[in-house]
Amino acid sequence: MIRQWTFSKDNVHKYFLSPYVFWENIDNVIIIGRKERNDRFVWEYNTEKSTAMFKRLENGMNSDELKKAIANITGESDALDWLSFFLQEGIIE
Amino acid sequence: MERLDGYQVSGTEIVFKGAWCCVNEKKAVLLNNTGHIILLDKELFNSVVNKRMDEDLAFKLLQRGFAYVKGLPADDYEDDIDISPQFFMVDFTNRCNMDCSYCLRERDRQNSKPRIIDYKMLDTIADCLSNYCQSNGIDRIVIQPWGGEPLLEKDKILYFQDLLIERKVNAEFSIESNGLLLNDSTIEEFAKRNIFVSISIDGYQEIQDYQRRLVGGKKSHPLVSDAINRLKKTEKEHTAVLATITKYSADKVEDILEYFAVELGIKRVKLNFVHKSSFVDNESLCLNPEEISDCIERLFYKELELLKRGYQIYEYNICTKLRNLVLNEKADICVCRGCNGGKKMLTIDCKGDVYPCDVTDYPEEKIGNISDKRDFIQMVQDSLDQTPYFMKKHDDKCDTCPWYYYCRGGCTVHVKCAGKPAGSIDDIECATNTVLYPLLVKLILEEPDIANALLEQNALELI
Repeated sequence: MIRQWTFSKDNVHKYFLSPYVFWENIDNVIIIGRKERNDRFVWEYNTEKSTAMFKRLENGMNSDELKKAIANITGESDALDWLSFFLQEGIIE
Repeated sequence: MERLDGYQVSGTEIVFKGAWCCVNEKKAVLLNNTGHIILLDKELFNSVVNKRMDEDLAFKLLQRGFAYVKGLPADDYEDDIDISPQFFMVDFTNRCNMDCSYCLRERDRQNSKPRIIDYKMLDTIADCLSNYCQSNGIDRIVIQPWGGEPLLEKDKILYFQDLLIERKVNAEFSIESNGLLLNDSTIEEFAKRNIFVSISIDGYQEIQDYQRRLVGGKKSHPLVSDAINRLKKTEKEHTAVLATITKYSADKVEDILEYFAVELGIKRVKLNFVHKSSFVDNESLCLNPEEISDCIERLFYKELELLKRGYQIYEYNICTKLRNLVLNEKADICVCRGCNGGKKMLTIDCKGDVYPCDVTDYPEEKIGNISDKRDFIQMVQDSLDQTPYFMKKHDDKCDTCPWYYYCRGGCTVHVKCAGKPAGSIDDIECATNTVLYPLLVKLILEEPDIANALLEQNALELI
Protein backbone atom coordinates (compact mmCIF):
# COMPACT_ATOMS: atom_id res chain seq x y z
CA MET A 1 0.00 0.00 0.00
CA ILE A 2 1.45 3.36 -1.03
CA ARG A 3 0.95 5.98 1.62
CA GLN A 4 1.06 9.77 1.61
CA TRP A 5 1.57 10.56 5.26
CA THR A 6 0.65 13.80 6.95
CA PHE A 7 3.86 14.83 8.67
CA SER A 8 3.77 16.09 12.24
CA LYS A 9 6.29 16.46 15.05
CA ASP A 10 5.59 12.83 15.95
CA ASN A 11 6.72 11.33 12.67
CA VAL A 12 8.75 13.88 10.72
CA HIS A 13 11.98 12.41 12.08
CA LYS A 14 11.09 8.95 10.75
CA TYR A 15 12.08 7.45 7.42
CA PHE A 16 9.34 6.36 5.03
CA LEU A 17 9.06 4.68 1.69
CA SER A 18 8.42 7.52 -0.75
CA PRO A 19 4.83 7.64 -2.03
CA TYR A 20 6.31 8.08 -5.51
CA VAL A 21 7.95 4.68 -5.44
CA PHE A 22 6.81 1.38 -6.83
CA TRP A 23 8.25 -1.91 -5.73
CA GLU A 24 7.23 -5.44 -6.54
CA ASN A 25 8.47 -8.95 -6.03
CA ILE A 26 8.82 -10.63 -9.42
CA ASP A 27 10.06 -14.23 -9.34
CA ASN A 28 11.86 -13.67 -6.06
CA VAL A 29 13.57 -10.50 -7.21
CA ILE A 30 12.48 -7.09 -5.99
CA ILE A 31 12.19 -4.35 -8.60
CA ILE A 32 12.17 -0.79 -7.28
CA GLY A 33 11.87 2.56 -8.99
CA ARG A 34 10.32 6.00 -8.98
CA LYS A 35 7.00 6.17 -10.78
CA GLU A 36 7.59 9.50 -12.44
CA ARG A 37 10.92 8.42 -13.89
CA ASN A 38 11.63 5.48 -16.12
CA ASP A 39 14.54 4.18 -14.07
CA ARG A 40 14.17 1.08 -11.98
CA PHE A 41 16.67 -1.19 -10.34
CA VAL A 42 16.87 -4.75 -9.15
CA TRP A 43 17.33 -5.41 -5.44
CA GLU A 44 18.84 -8.85 -5.37
CA TYR A 45 18.95 -9.48 -1.64
CA ASN A 46 16.77 -11.82 0.39
CA THR A 47 13.23 -11.09 -0.77
CA GLU A 48 11.50 -12.20 2.41
CA LYS A 49 13.53 -9.92 4.67
CA SER A 50 13.45 -7.11 2.11
CA THR A 51 9.68 -7.31 1.72
CA ALA A 52 9.31 -7.10 5.47
CA MET A 53 11.54 -4.01 5.55
CA PHE A 54 9.69 -2.24 2.75
CA LYS A 55 6.39 -2.97 4.45
CA ARG A 56 7.72 -1.51 7.71
CA LEU A 57 8.93 1.54 5.80
CA GLU A 58 5.40 2.16 4.60
CA ASN A 59 4.60 2.99 8.22
CA GLY A 60 7.89 4.71 9.08
CA MET A 61 11.08 3.62 10.84
CA ASN A 62 13.52 5.59 12.91
CA SER A 63 17.14 5.92 11.88
CA ASP A 64 18.52 3.10 14.04
CA GLU A 65 15.77 0.69 13.09
CA LEU A 66 16.35 1.38 9.41
CA LYS A 67 20.14 0.98 9.55
CA LYS A 68 19.72 -2.27 11.46
CA ALA A 69 17.12 -3.57 9.02
CA ILE A 70 19.31 -2.81 5.99
CA ALA A 71 22.39 -4.32 7.65
CA ASN A 72 20.37 -7.43 8.42
CA ILE A 73 19.72 -7.83 4.70
CA THR A 74 22.91 -6.59 3.00
CA GLY A 75 25.45 -7.19 5.72
CA GLU A 76 27.01 -4.55 7.97
CA SER A 77 29.66 -3.36 5.50
CA ASP A 78 27.25 -2.41 2.69
CA ALA A 79 24.43 -1.03 4.81
CA LEU A 80 25.39 2.63 4.87
CA ASP A 81 26.10 2.70 1.14
CA TRP A 82 22.68 1.28 0.46
CA LEU A 83 21.02 3.72 2.82
CA SER A 84 22.72 6.63 1.02
CA PHE A 85 21.67 5.20 -2.31
CA PHE A 86 18.03 4.87 -1.24
CA LEU A 87 18.00 8.44 0.05
CA GLN A 88 19.70 9.90 -3.00
CA GLU A 89 17.36 8.12 -5.37
CA GLY A 90 14.30 9.25 -3.46
CA ILE A 91 13.25 5.71 -2.59
CA ILE A 92 13.32 6.39 1.12
CA GLU A 93 12.66 9.82 2.54
CA MET B 1 -4.04 27.91 -3.73
CA GLU B 2 -1.84 30.47 -2.01
CA ARG B 3 1.80 31.01 -2.90
CA LEU B 4 4.49 30.66 -0.20
CA ASP B 5 7.79 32.35 -1.00
CA GLY B 6 11.12 30.57 -0.67
CA TYR B 7 13.99 31.22 1.75
CA GLN B 8 17.15 29.69 3.16
CA VAL B 9 16.43 27.49 6.17
CA SER B 10 18.08 28.99 9.22
CA GLY B 11 21.29 27.27 10.33
CA THR B 12 21.41 25.00 7.28
CA GLU B 13 22.51 25.07 3.65
CA ILE B 14 19.02 24.07 2.60
CA VAL B 15 16.96 26.50 0.55
CA PHE B 16 13.18 26.16 0.53
CA LYS B 17 12.06 26.93 -3.03
CA GLY B 18 8.56 28.10 -2.13
CA ALA B 19 5.35 26.24 -2.88
CA TRP B 20 1.65 26.44 -3.56
CA CYS B 21 -0.42 25.64 -0.51
CA CYS B 22 -3.94 24.95 0.61
CA VAL B 23 -4.70 24.94 4.32
CA ASN B 24 -7.58 24.02 6.59
CA GLU B 25 -7.79 24.20 10.38
CA LYS B 26 -5.80 20.99 10.88
CA LYS B 27 -3.38 20.54 8.02
CA ALA B 28 -1.96 21.78 4.74
CA VAL B 29 -1.13 20.48 1.29
CA LEU B 30 1.97 21.93 -0.33
CA LEU B 31 2.52 21.53 -4.07
CA ASN B 32 5.69 22.25 -6.03
CA ASN B 33 6.52 22.76 -9.70
CA THR B 34 7.68 19.18 -10.23
CA GLY B 35 4.31 17.66 -9.43
CA HIS B 36 5.00 16.57 -5.87
CA ILE B 37 2.92 17.29 -2.81
CA ILE B 38 3.60 17.05 0.89
CA LEU B 39 1.03 16.94 3.69
CA LEU B 40 1.88 18.76 6.92
CA ASP B 41 -0.06 19.21 10.12
CA LYS B 42 -0.79 22.78 11.12
CA GLU B 43 2.15 22.98 13.53
CA LEU B 44 4.72 21.97 10.92
CA PHE B 45 3.05 24.11 8.30
CA ASN B 46 3.30 27.13 10.59
CA SER B 47 6.98 26.39 11.08
CA VAL B 48 7.39 26.63 7.29
CA VAL B 49 5.44 29.87 7.11
CA ASN B 50 7.35 31.36 10.05
CA LYS B 51 10.72 30.25 8.65
CA ARG B 52 11.38 28.10 11.71
CA MET B 53 11.39 24.62 10.27
CA ASP B 54 13.73 22.09 11.82
CA GLU B 55 16.23 19.90 9.99
CA ASP B 56 13.96 16.87 9.84
CA LEU B 57 11.28 18.81 8.00
CA ALA B 58 13.87 20.55 5.80
CA PHE B 59 15.14 17.10 4.83
CA LYS B 60 11.63 15.93 3.93
CA LEU B 61 11.13 19.03 1.78
CA LEU B 62 14.48 18.40 0.14
CA GLN B 63 13.50 14.82 -0.67
CA ARG B 64 10.22 15.91 -2.23
CA GLY B 65 11.85 18.58 -4.39
CA PHE B 66 10.58 21.55 -2.36
CA ALA B 67 14.12 22.54 -1.41
CA TYR B 68 17.70 22.24 -2.60
CA VAL B 69 21.14 22.38 -1.03
CA LYS B 70 22.87 25.67 -1.63
CA GLY B 71 25.67 25.30 -4.15
CA LEU B 72 24.21 22.12 -5.64
CA PRO B 73 21.97 22.17 -8.70
CA ALA B 74 18.31 22.55 -7.76
CA ASP B 75 16.17 19.60 -8.83
CA ASP B 76 14.08 21.64 -11.22
CA TYR B 77 14.01 19.15 -14.02
CA GLU B 78 11.02 19.20 -16.26
CA ASP B 79 10.55 15.52 -16.74
CA ASP B 80 9.75 15.66 -20.42
CA ILE B 81 8.01 12.56 -21.59
CA ASP B 82 10.54 10.31 -23.29
CA ILE B 83 9.64 9.08 -26.77
CA SER B 84 8.52 5.49 -26.50
CA PRO B 85 5.17 4.87 -28.19
CA GLN B 86 3.39 1.92 -26.63
CA PHE B 87 -0.24 2.72 -27.39
CA PHE B 88 -1.24 2.25 -31.01
CA MET B 89 -4.55 3.19 -32.54
CA VAL B 90 -5.17 1.41 -35.80
CA ASP B 91 -7.74 3.07 -38.04
CA PHE B 92 -9.71 0.07 -39.30
CA THR B 93 -12.46 2.05 -40.99
CA ASN B 94 -14.13 5.42 -41.09
CA ARG B 95 -17.50 3.71 -41.62
CA CYS B 96 -20.04 3.86 -38.85
CA ASN B 97 -23.53 2.55 -38.19
CA MET B 98 -24.41 5.55 -36.07
CA ASP B 99 -24.81 9.19 -36.90
CA CYS B 100 -23.82 11.15 -33.82
CA SER B 101 -24.56 14.83 -33.78
CA TYR B 102 -20.99 15.76 -32.85
CA CYS B 103 -19.06 13.17 -34.91
CA LEU B 104 -15.41 14.13 -35.27
CA ARG B 105 -14.54 11.93 -38.26
CA GLU B 106 -14.45 13.10 -41.84
CA ARG B 107 -17.24 11.11 -43.42
CA ASP B 108 -18.98 12.27 -46.54
CA ARG B 109 -22.10 10.30 -45.78
CA GLN B 110 -23.49 10.54 -49.30
CA ASN B 111 -20.71 10.32 -51.82
CA SER B 112 -17.24 9.29 -50.80
CA LYS B 113 -15.91 5.76 -50.78
CA PRO B 114 -15.37 4.51 -47.23
CA ARG B 115 -11.81 3.96 -46.09
CA ILE B 116 -11.29 0.41 -44.83
CA ILE B 117 -8.06 -1.29 -43.90
CA ASP B 118 -7.14 -4.43 -45.88
CA TYR B 119 -5.57 -7.70 -44.77
CA LYS B 120 -2.30 -7.02 -46.56
CA MET B 121 -1.85 -3.76 -44.69
CA LEU B 122 -2.53 -5.55 -41.39
CA ASP B 123 0.26 -8.01 -42.22
CA THR B 124 2.63 -5.10 -42.83
CA ILE B 125 1.60 -3.29 -39.62
CA ALA B 126 2.04 -6.49 -37.60
CA ASP B 127 5.57 -6.94 -39.00
CA CYS B 128 6.37 -3.33 -38.29
CA LEU B 129 5.12 -3.51 -34.69
CA SER B 130 6.97 -6.77 -34.12
CA ASN B 131 10.26 -5.28 -35.35
CA TYR B 132 9.67 -2.14 -33.30
CA CYS B 133 9.03 -4.05 -30.07
CA GLN B 134 12.00 -6.37 -30.60
CA SER B 135 14.50 -3.69 -31.49
CA ASN B 136 13.45 -1.43 -28.61
CA GLY B 137 12.97 -4.08 -25.93
CA ILE B 138 9.30 -3.21 -25.52
CA ASP B 139 7.55 -6.07 -23.77
CA ARG B 140 3.96 -4.85 -23.92
CA ILE B 141 1.91 -2.60 -26.17
CA VAL B 142 -1.75 -1.64 -26.31
CA ILE B 143 -3.67 -1.79 -29.57
CA GLN B 144 -6.86 0.15 -29.98
CA PRO B 145 -8.72 -0.82 -33.14
CA TRP B 146 -10.36 2.45 -34.06
CA GLY B 147 -12.97 3.82 -36.42
CA GLY B 148 -15.76 4.86 -37.26
CA GLU B 149 -17.20 1.83 -35.60
CA PRO B 150 -14.32 -0.65 -35.32
CA LEU B 151 -16.56 -3.69 -34.88
CA LEU B 152 -17.73 -3.29 -38.49
CA GLU B 153 -14.30 -4.82 -39.19
CA LYS B 154 -14.42 -7.40 -36.42
CA ASP B 155 -12.94 -10.22 -38.50
CA LYS B 156 -9.95 -8.07 -39.37
CA ILE B 157 -9.45 -7.17 -35.72
CA LEU B 158 -9.30 -10.86 -34.81
CA TYR B 159 -7.00 -11.54 -37.76
CA PHE B 160 -4.71 -8.73 -36.62
CA GLN B 161 -4.61 -10.06 -33.08
CA ASP B 162 -3.64 -13.50 -34.44
CA LEU B 163 -0.84 -11.93 -36.48
CA LEU B 164 0.61 -10.28 -33.39
CA ILE B 165 0.31 -13.48 -31.35
CA GLU B 166 2.16 -15.38 -34.12
CA ARG B 167 4.90 -12.76 -33.93
CA LYS B 168 5.02 -13.05 -30.14
CA VAL B 169 4.05 -9.42 -29.64
CA ASN B 170 2.46 -8.97 -26.22
CA ALA B 171 -0.44 -6.74 -27.27
CA GLU B 172 -3.43 -5.87 -25.14
CA PHE B 173 -6.48 -5.10 -27.26
CA SER B 174 -8.89 -2.43 -26.13
CA ILE B 175 -11.84 -1.27 -28.21
CA GLU B 176 -14.19 1.66 -27.85
CA SER B 177 -17.43 0.66 -29.56
CA ASN B 178 -20.95 1.97 -29.93
CA GLY B 179 -22.10 -1.50 -28.88
CA LEU B 180 -24.53 -2.12 -31.74
CA LEU B 181 -22.69 -5.19 -33.03
CA LEU B 182 -21.94 -6.71 -29.66
CA ASN B 183 -23.96 -9.90 -29.83
CA ASP B 184 -23.44 -12.75 -27.38
CA SER B 185 -21.05 -14.69 -29.59
CA THR B 186 -18.84 -11.63 -30.13
CA ILE B 187 -18.79 -10.89 -26.41
CA GLU B 188 -17.85 -14.50 -25.70
CA GLU B 189 -15.13 -14.51 -28.34
CA PHE B 190 -13.65 -11.24 -27.09
CA ALA B 191 -13.67 -12.55 -23.52
CA LYS B 192 -11.77 -15.67 -24.62
CA ARG B 193 -9.23 -13.51 -26.43
CA ASN B 194 -8.91 -10.94 -23.62
CA ILE B 195 -10.14 -8.17 -25.86
CA PHE B 196 -11.55 -5.45 -23.65
CA VAL B 197 -14.49 -3.43 -24.93
CA SER B 198 -15.85 -0.19 -23.54
CA ILE B 199 -19.08 1.26 -24.83
CA SER B 200 -19.98 4.78 -25.80
CA ILE B 201 -23.28 5.89 -24.32
CA ASP B 202 -24.05 9.50 -23.53
CA GLY B 203 -26.61 8.92 -20.79
CA TYR B 204 -30.18 7.82 -20.25
CA GLN B 205 -32.61 7.39 -23.11
CA GLU B 206 -33.48 11.02 -23.77
CA ILE B 207 -29.85 12.10 -23.99
CA GLN B 208 -28.54 9.10 -25.89
CA ASP B 209 -31.31 9.30 -28.46
CA TYR B 210 -30.80 13.02 -28.92
CA GLN B 211 -27.04 12.86 -29.39
CA ARG B 212 -26.37 9.39 -30.76
CA ARG B 213 -28.87 8.15 -33.33
CA LEU B 214 -28.56 5.27 -35.75
CA VAL B 215 -27.84 6.00 -39.39
CA GLY B 216 -31.33 6.73 -40.69
CA GLY B 217 -32.35 8.50 -37.51
CA LYS B 218 -33.70 5.68 -35.37
CA LYS B 219 -33.16 5.60 -31.61
CA SER B 220 -30.10 3.78 -30.33
CA HIS B 221 -30.63 3.68 -26.57
CA PRO B 222 -32.53 0.39 -26.30
CA LEU B 223 -29.88 -1.44 -28.36
CA VAL B 224 -26.89 0.10 -26.61
CA SER B 225 -28.17 -0.33 -23.05
CA ASP B 226 -29.00 -3.94 -23.91
CA ALA B 227 -25.42 -4.43 -25.16
CA ILE B 228 -24.04 -3.01 -21.92
CA ASN B 229 -26.15 -5.36 -19.85
CA ARG B 230 -24.93 -8.33 -21.88
CA LEU B 231 -21.32 -7.18 -21.71
CA LYS B 232 -21.59 -6.89 -17.92
CA LYS B 233 -22.13 -10.65 -17.72
CA THR B 234 -18.56 -11.26 -18.89
CA GLU B 235 -16.63 -8.08 -18.09
CA LYS B 236 -18.48 -7.69 -14.77
CA GLU B 237 -17.15 -4.83 -12.67
CA HIS B 238 -14.63 -3.94 -15.38
CA THR B 239 -17.37 -2.89 -17.78
CA ALA B 240 -16.69 0.68 -18.73
CA VAL B 241 -18.67 3.32 -20.54
CA LEU B 242 -17.66 6.53 -22.26
CA ALA B 243 -19.94 9.52 -22.44
CA THR B 244 -19.63 12.74 -24.37
CA ILE B 245 -20.93 15.80 -22.59
CA THR B 246 -22.44 18.50 -24.77
CA LYS B 247 -24.27 21.74 -24.21
CA TYR B 248 -27.46 19.69 -24.37
CA SER B 249 -26.45 17.22 -21.67
CA ALA B 250 -24.16 19.30 -19.40
CA ASP B 251 -26.89 20.49 -17.05
CA LYS B 252 -28.00 16.87 -16.59
CA VAL B 253 -24.55 15.51 -15.74
CA GLU B 254 -25.62 14.50 -12.22
CA ASP B 255 -28.56 12.53 -13.62
CA ILE B 256 -26.27 10.90 -16.18
CA LEU B 257 -23.85 9.70 -13.51
CA GLU B 258 -26.76 8.55 -11.35
CA TYR B 259 -28.09 6.59 -14.31
CA PHE B 260 -24.75 4.89 -14.94
CA ALA B 261 -24.31 3.98 -11.27
CA VAL B 262 -27.83 3.04 -10.26
CA GLU B 263 -29.64 1.92 -13.42
CA LEU B 264 -26.78 0.39 -15.37
CA GLY B 265 -24.68 -0.65 -12.37
CA ILE B 266 -21.51 0.59 -14.05
CA LYS B 267 -18.40 1.26 -11.99
CA ARG B 268 -16.06 2.73 -14.56
CA VAL B 269 -17.04 5.75 -16.59
CA LYS B 270 -15.21 8.36 -18.57
CA LEU B 271 -16.87 11.63 -19.40
CA ASN B 272 -15.40 13.80 -22.12
CA PHE B 273 -16.48 17.20 -23.29
CA VAL B 274 -17.32 17.46 -26.94
CA HIS B 275 -14.88 19.61 -28.88
CA LYS B 276 -15.30 21.43 -32.11
CA SER B 277 -15.16 19.30 -35.24
CA SER B 278 -13.44 20.31 -38.46
CA PHE B 279 -15.94 18.30 -40.48
CA VAL B 280 -19.43 18.86 -39.05
CA ASP B 281 -20.98 21.97 -37.62
CA ASN B 282 -21.18 20.97 -33.96
CA GLU B 283 -20.32 24.31 -32.44
CA SER B 284 -23.76 24.70 -30.89
CA LEU B 285 -23.05 21.57 -28.83
CA CYS B 286 -19.67 22.76 -27.49
CA LEU B 287 -19.44 24.28 -24.02
CA ASN B 288 -17.56 27.42 -23.18
CA PRO B 289 -14.88 27.31 -20.42
CA GLU B 290 -17.26 28.62 -17.74
CA GLU B 291 -19.83 25.95 -18.58
CA ILE B 292 -17.12 23.28 -18.50
CA SER B 293 -15.89 24.43 -15.09
CA ASP B 294 -19.42 24.43 -13.72
CA CYS B 295 -20.10 20.97 -15.12
CA ILE B 296 -16.86 19.54 -13.72
CA GLU B 297 -17.67 20.86 -10.26
CA ARG B 298 -21.15 19.33 -10.31
CA LEU B 299 -19.77 16.07 -11.65
CA PHE B 300 -17.18 15.97 -8.86
CA TYR B 301 -19.74 16.47 -6.09
CA LYS B 302 -22.07 13.92 -7.67
CA GLU B 303 -19.22 11.40 -7.77
CA LEU B 304 -18.63 11.95 -4.05
CA GLU B 305 -22.33 11.67 -3.28
CA LEU B 306 -22.60 8.35 -5.11
CA LEU B 307 -19.54 6.96 -3.34
CA LYS B 308 -21.00 7.98 0.01
CA ARG B 309 -24.28 6.29 -0.91
CA GLY B 310 -22.32 3.08 -1.49
CA TYR B 311 -22.15 3.09 -5.29
CA GLN B 312 -18.64 2.27 -6.40
CA ILE B 313 -18.48 4.42 -9.47
CA TYR B 314 -15.20 5.89 -10.61
CA GLU B 315 -15.01 8.66 -13.16
CA TYR B 316 -11.77 8.27 -15.06
CA ASN B 317 -10.70 11.91 -15.25
CA ILE B 318 -11.29 12.46 -11.54
CA CYS B 319 -9.38 9.30 -10.62
CA THR B 320 -6.41 9.89 -12.92
CA LYS B 321 -5.99 13.50 -11.84
CA LEU B 322 -6.11 12.44 -8.21
CA ARG B 323 -3.44 9.84 -8.93
CA ASN B 324 -1.42 12.55 -10.70
CA LEU B 325 -1.64 14.69 -7.62
CA VAL B 326 -1.03 12.10 -4.92
CA LEU B 327 1.25 9.65 -6.69
CA ASN B 328 2.72 11.76 -9.52
CA GLU B 329 1.68 9.00 -11.86
CA LYS B 330 1.56 9.36 -15.60
CA ALA B 331 -1.63 7.36 -15.41
CA ASP B 332 -3.28 8.64 -18.56
CA ILE B 333 -1.81 7.80 -21.94
CA CYS B 334 -3.41 10.84 -23.50
CA VAL B 335 -2.87 14.08 -21.58
CA CYS B 336 -0.99 13.46 -18.35
CA ARG B 337 1.78 16.11 -18.35
CA GLY B 338 0.21 17.60 -21.45
CA CYS B 339 -0.23 15.90 -24.80
CA ASN B 340 1.49 12.53 -25.16
CA GLY B 341 0.69 12.28 -28.87
CA GLY B 342 3.63 10.74 -30.71
CA LYS B 343 5.60 10.25 -27.52
CA LYS B 344 3.45 7.54 -25.99
CA MET B 345 0.79 6.96 -28.63
CA LEU B 346 0.58 6.73 -32.39
CA THR B 347 -2.15 6.13 -34.92
CA ILE B 348 -1.73 4.12 -38.11
CA ASP B 349 -4.28 4.49 -40.89
CA CYS B 350 -5.43 2.14 -43.65
CA LYS B 351 -2.63 3.36 -45.97
CA GLY B 352 0.03 2.74 -43.34
CA ASP B 353 0.47 6.44 -42.69
CA VAL B 354 1.53 7.25 -39.15
CA TYR B 355 0.09 10.10 -37.08
CA PRO B 356 0.85 11.30 -33.54
CA CYS B 357 -2.79 10.92 -32.46
CA ASP B 358 -6.27 10.25 -33.86
CA VAL B 359 -5.78 12.86 -36.59
CA THR B 360 -5.81 10.56 -39.60
CA ASP B 361 -8.31 12.86 -41.30
CA TYR B 362 -5.70 15.64 -41.30
CA PRO B 363 -3.00 14.71 -43.88
CA GLU B 364 -0.81 17.61 -42.75
CA GLU B 365 -0.28 15.84 -39.39
CA LYS B 366 1.24 12.71 -40.94
CA ILE B 367 4.72 12.01 -39.58
CA GLY B 368 5.65 9.01 -41.70
CA ASN B 369 4.58 5.69 -43.17
CA ILE B 370 5.24 2.19 -41.91
CA SER B 371 7.06 1.44 -45.16
CA ASP B 372 9.66 4.11 -44.23
CA LYS B 373 13.00 2.75 -43.17
CA ARG B 374 12.69 4.52 -39.84
CA ASP B 375 11.26 3.10 -36.68
CA PHE B 376 8.51 4.91 -34.81
CA ILE B 377 10.85 6.62 -32.36
CA GLN B 378 12.95 8.03 -35.19
CA MET B 379 9.80 9.17 -36.99
CA VAL B 380 8.67 11.15 -33.95
CA GLN B 381 12.15 12.53 -33.28
CA ASP B 382 12.40 13.72 -36.89
CA SER B 383 9.06 15.50 -36.54
CA LEU B 384 9.56 17.25 -33.21
CA ASP B 385 11.01 20.42 -34.68
CA GLN B 386 9.27 20.18 -38.03
CA THR B 387 5.62 19.74 -37.16
CA PRO B 388 3.39 22.32 -35.43
CA TYR B 389 1.73 19.39 -33.63
CA PHE B 390 4.65 19.14 -31.20
CA MET B 391 4.96 22.84 -30.48
CA LYS B 392 5.02 23.65 -26.77
CA LYS B 393 1.69 25.10 -25.63
CA HIS B 394 1.71 28.14 -23.44
CA ASP B 395 -0.31 31.14 -22.36
CA ASP B 396 0.70 33.95 -20.01
CA LYS B 397 -1.69 32.62 -17.38
CA CYS B 398 0.25 29.32 -17.34
CA ASP B 399 3.16 31.15 -15.63
CA THR B 400 1.20 31.52 -12.42
CA CYS B 401 -0.92 28.40 -12.66
CA PRO B 402 -0.21 25.77 -9.96
CA TRP B 403 -1.44 23.03 -12.28
CA TYR B 404 0.81 23.74 -15.26
CA TYR B 405 3.08 20.80 -14.42
CA TYR B 406 0.17 18.42 -15.00
CA CYS B 407 -1.58 20.33 -17.77
CA ARG B 408 1.11 21.83 -20.01
CA GLY B 409 -1.48 23.32 -22.27
CA GLY B 410 -3.62 20.22 -22.67
CA CYS B 411 -4.71 18.39 -25.80
CA THR B 412 -3.20 19.32 -29.17
CA VAL B 413 -6.19 18.01 -31.10
CA HIS B 414 -8.57 20.21 -29.10
CA VAL B 415 -6.43 23.23 -29.98
CA LYS B 416 -6.32 22.28 -33.64
CA CYS B 417 -10.04 21.64 -33.94
CA ALA B 418 -10.83 24.88 -32.13
CA GLY B 419 -9.01 26.65 -34.97
CA LYS B 420 -6.46 28.19 -32.61
CA PRO B 421 -2.83 28.67 -33.70
CA ALA B 422 -0.36 25.89 -32.84
CA GLY B 423 1.15 26.56 -29.43
CA SER B 424 -2.12 27.88 -27.99
CA ILE B 425 -3.56 26.19 -24.93
CA ASP B 426 -6.53 23.84 -24.85
CA ASP B 427 -9.41 25.71 -23.23
CA ILE B 428 -11.23 22.51 -22.29
CA GLU B 429 -8.32 21.07 -20.33
CA CYS B 430 -7.55 24.45 -18.77
CA ALA B 431 -11.15 24.87 -17.60
CA THR B 432 -11.14 21.31 -16.26
CA ASN B 433 -7.81 21.47 -14.44
CA THR B 434 -8.32 24.85 -12.82
CA VAL B 435 -11.48 23.56 -11.18
CA LEU B 436 -10.84 19.86 -10.64
CA TYR B 437 -7.36 20.01 -9.10
CA PRO B 438 -8.34 22.48 -6.34
CA LEU B 439 -11.37 20.30 -5.55
CA LEU B 440 -9.10 17.27 -5.31
CA VAL B 441 -6.68 19.08 -3.00
CA LYS B 442 -9.62 20.01 -0.78
CA LEU B 443 -10.75 16.39 -0.85
CA ILE B 444 -7.31 15.22 0.30
CA LEU B 445 -7.50 17.66 3.21
CA GLU B 446 -11.14 17.28 4.21
CA GLU B 447 -12.15 13.77 3.22
CA PRO B 448 -9.08 11.55 2.92
CA ASP B 449 -11.21 8.40 3.19
CA ILE B 450 -13.06 9.31 0.01
CA ALA B 451 -9.77 10.23 -1.67
CA ASN B 452 -8.42 6.82 -0.68
CA ALA B 453 -11.52 5.14 -2.09
CA LEU B 454 -10.88 6.85 -5.42
CA LEU B 455 -7.18 5.92 -5.35
CA GLU B 456 -7.89 2.26 -4.69
CA GLN B 457 -9.52 1.97 -8.09
CA ASN B 458 -7.16 0.94 -10.86
CA ALA B 459 -7.69 3.81 -13.29
CA LEU B 460 -4.99 2.69 -15.71
CA GLU B 461 -7.02 0.41 -17.90
CA LEU B 462 -9.73 2.67 -19.23
CA ILE B 463 -8.00 4.59 -21.99
